Amino acid sequence: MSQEFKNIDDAEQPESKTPEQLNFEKFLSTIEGKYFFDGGKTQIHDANPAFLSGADERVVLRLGNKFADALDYLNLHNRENVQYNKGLSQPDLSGMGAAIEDSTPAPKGWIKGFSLFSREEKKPVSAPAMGEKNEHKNKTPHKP
Amino acid sequence: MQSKELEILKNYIPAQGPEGLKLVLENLLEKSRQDKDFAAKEHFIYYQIGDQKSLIKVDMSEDPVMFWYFDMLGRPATRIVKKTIAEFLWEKCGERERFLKDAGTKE
Repeated sequence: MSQEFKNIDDAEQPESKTPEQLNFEKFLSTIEGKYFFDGGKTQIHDANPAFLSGADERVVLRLGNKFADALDYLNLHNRENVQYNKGLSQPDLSGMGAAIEDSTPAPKGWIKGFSLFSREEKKPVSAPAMGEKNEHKNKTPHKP
Repeated sequence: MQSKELEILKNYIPAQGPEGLKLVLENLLEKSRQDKDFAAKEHFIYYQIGDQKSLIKVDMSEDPVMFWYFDMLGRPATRIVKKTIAEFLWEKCGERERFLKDAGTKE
């Protein structure tokens, strides 16, 4: 998946120049990190291991652009807990959404991820203080 | 903890597209203003448009209302999602007034 990937509702909207809308646009540009925290910008190797661990948990991870790294990390840390997609021997990036939908019990990793966030702890899971950065780097990459 | 988390997932609120998200947020705000116990709970929204699926946590227990977002395929939040949330904050949660007050203070 490339960085240039455009989400379906990301179509351009016409710009407005009224003072009210200029103020709003200024406000919009400031919400991230203040009112809005985006886990989609977190790389897998930055994630908090506590978020990924749990022997009885099946973990579905946001794979993003680091698919190989994510598989590597999962194989090392949570192989038995990886949520595979519908009989596939390996997780499939395109099917992760379906895997999440089909999982029973529900993909707790996501909710556990959410539980790491609070008003007091506003940093996303990518915050260095919450994770062991690049822990997987020297391990053998996963080969599909 | 585990059962609590599972319970949360079972009770996520579906929202279809930006309009659906806006509606869900307005309903949550209305209920939160009427019921402090409800406001104190964590609210989870399952946002979907086309093949784009995201989980959004909302905290309305106090001002300002805060949001945490996870796209299920790891993509950053779209501009429309951020705009929808910003509009909600701006129009419904007093952020317009706060912004103008802050702007006036700085001048």
